[in-house]
Amino acid sequence: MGLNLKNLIKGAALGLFPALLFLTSCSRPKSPLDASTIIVWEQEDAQVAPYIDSVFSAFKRLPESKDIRIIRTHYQTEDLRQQFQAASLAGVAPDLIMCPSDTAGLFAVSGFIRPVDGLIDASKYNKAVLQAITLDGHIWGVPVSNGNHLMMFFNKKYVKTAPKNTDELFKFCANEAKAYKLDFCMAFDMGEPFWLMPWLAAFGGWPIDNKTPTLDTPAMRSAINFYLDLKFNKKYAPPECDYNCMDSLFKEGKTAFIINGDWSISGYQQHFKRDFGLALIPKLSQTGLWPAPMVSGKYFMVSSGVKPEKLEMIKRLMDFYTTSDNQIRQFKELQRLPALAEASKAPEITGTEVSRVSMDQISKGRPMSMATEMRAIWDSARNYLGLATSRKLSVEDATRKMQQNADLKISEMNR
Amino acid sequence: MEILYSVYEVLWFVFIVIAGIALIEGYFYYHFQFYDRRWFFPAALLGFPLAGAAGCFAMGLVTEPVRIFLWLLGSEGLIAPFFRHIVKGRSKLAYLLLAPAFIGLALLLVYPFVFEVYLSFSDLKLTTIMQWKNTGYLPFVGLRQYIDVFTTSPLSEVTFWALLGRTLWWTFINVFFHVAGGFTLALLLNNHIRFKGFYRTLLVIPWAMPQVVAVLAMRGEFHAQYGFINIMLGKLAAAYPFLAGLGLGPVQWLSNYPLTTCTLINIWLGIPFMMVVILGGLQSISSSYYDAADIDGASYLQKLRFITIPLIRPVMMPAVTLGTVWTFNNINVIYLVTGQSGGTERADILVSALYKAAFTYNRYSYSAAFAIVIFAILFFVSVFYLKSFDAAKEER
Repeated sequence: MGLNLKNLIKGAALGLFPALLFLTSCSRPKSPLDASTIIVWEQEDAQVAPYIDSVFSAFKRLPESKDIRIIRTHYQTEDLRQQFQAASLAGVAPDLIMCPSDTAGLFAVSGFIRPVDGLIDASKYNKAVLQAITLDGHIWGVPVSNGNHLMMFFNKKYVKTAPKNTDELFKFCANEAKAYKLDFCMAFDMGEPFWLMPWLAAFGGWPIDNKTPTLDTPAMRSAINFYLDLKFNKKYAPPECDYNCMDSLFKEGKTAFIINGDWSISGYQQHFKRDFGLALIPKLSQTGLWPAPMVSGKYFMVSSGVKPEKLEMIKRLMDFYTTSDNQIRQFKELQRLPALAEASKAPEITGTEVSRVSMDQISKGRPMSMATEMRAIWDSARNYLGLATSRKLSVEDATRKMQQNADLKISEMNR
Repeated sequence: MEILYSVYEVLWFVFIVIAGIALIEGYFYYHFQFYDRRWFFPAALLGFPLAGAAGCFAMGLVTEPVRIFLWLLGSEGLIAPFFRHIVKGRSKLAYLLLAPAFIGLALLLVYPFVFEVYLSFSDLKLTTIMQWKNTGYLPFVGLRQYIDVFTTSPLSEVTFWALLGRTLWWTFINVFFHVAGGFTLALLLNNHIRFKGFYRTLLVIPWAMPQVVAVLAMRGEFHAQYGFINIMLGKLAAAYPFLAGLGLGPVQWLSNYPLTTCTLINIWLGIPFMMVVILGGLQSISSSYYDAADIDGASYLQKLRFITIPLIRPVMMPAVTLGTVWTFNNINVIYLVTGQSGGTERADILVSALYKAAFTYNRYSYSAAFAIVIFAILFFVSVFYLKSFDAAKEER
């Protein structure tokens, strides 16, 4: 079969045309994302978005920022973690993410975010909120707000004065709560170890010491026994109640007290209006210690993929977002407490009951560790707390196994 | 502006897909059409690797074009003779039509699977993830991850083997009740009854509803104090004290019986699918079989045994196989029902434990090995099902 020129041309054309088409198509359109664009991913609730956008707009109105573009993208909490991880691996991570500190440890250990030690003046921020984002001697995020902590809320229709200690609380539960025929005196998510931590601290314990789990302790046993007493002996708290359940019970007026996070304040204010009350989690009369909720906040974290020439611009944005004025405005609009020490002392912050009580609760709290070991601690504590409070396991066995399992999981993670 | 750019990007993506398909079609057309020409080999061995390497280099996909050229040359060295000596231009149109689907499957199924296998022999975890990104290198650990799968567990109290037993039991119970419930309802609906369409719609609702909504709604019904189930149990026990004497009464479903709760919810969710499939099978059975059986004086049970069941078996087998795979892999129900309550481990099955290993403990290579083991189990179960179905068909 001889060389057929016509076929050769036809073949070449057939091969070349799609190849050219493909090559042309792969030369991606020029992206508007250039060196003057800052990409921010966040996981805030919908009502927070207008506030964030307003601060970004104000920043862009500054003469030195007029050429800067900011693109904000919203994700759900878990999606943000996964997407940021995937984007970092693909080399297309956003410049900044704004989220709580609980995933910061994961990002820091993986190398997805860079320390911000040189980017901020650490002395300007509240100590606890900074400690919650410190790991291995480095600060991994710029605090935007302070809190994310548990507090006690009550329905003023039933409770005139908030109890200061558990004796007063239990007295109310034994008398007035019964008179009002409430389903339960109090409700909180007893299956989640996050809600156990204040009581654990009130019994003199804490789940982690540096990076070592400290779960098999007399304090942990006392805290679980306290739960069992509340659920099964005193019957002041529902035997089976998760977050949605406790929230519904409180909103429907079936319980007088709830222990919930500061994130729920604005929702309860809208729901209860003048009947909404908030207080410190009452002091544990048995030990005379205050319950210490875990304290963290929201933070800006800087991707490790950010080019050095962009850092200055990002630093300016973070500085602007956390100026004293903006921190106060953030409180006024979102009821989020400032991370900046100076702003925390402003009359606007100290002048309202909500912020005063919330700040007081923070002062009694302890920073939430961002060590990755916390993942094993949460998982193990959740499982054995469930087994102990459903009486499937004795308290002693539960705490012993809680510790053993957390140790084992950490060793498996690090192997 | 951002919206316009996003639209532009989507259109560009569509254009890339079209161009990609054109490229694939052109490539295969060349091999099918010109396989017997004298210039077929030189042109293929020179042209495609050269164009491929140049294209990849131009697009910035590779930094070493020579290496990719040699790699493509090697591949073409196998592909071209295959087309000349084995395919010989046969079934050209069929293969050209199938080519995009083949490539799509290869990209979406084969590549991830091969990558999963690669991961399972390496050590990707929290502390090695950035090293992998920066160097592309992961330490090879041989069978260590597979040994870990069988000797350790992502859970605290439950070993891998206990978890496997629980998963098989969960799958069996669910599929059994899906089939039994679906078959019973399909038989009822296959009769001449009034408002059949209305009943059918009602029965399909759990399946038609988004699973998250359905599961969360049912979860609420199992609440210890405010759930419908316990309220009914309480009322029954109050109305008929002898039932209370037998132990009937409200229980803490989510705390004390999490797996039973998940099973009950999943049975409720799964019955409509089986019902719809079996109903389709029943309606395809010719009435002449039943007429003949009636003439012979067959009872209802005899007709069921000798006509209905054998004739719906071809419909049932794929549905049961699918149901088994879905139930075995059903993380949604477990996660949504137990995710927020304490003692969650007591309802965990293999896939929910795998999720924990991957996303709580970030043990990616271990999770990859775990996933391959689950895949192998399901693969053998499916093959066993299909083989037994073939054997049953041959017997007939």
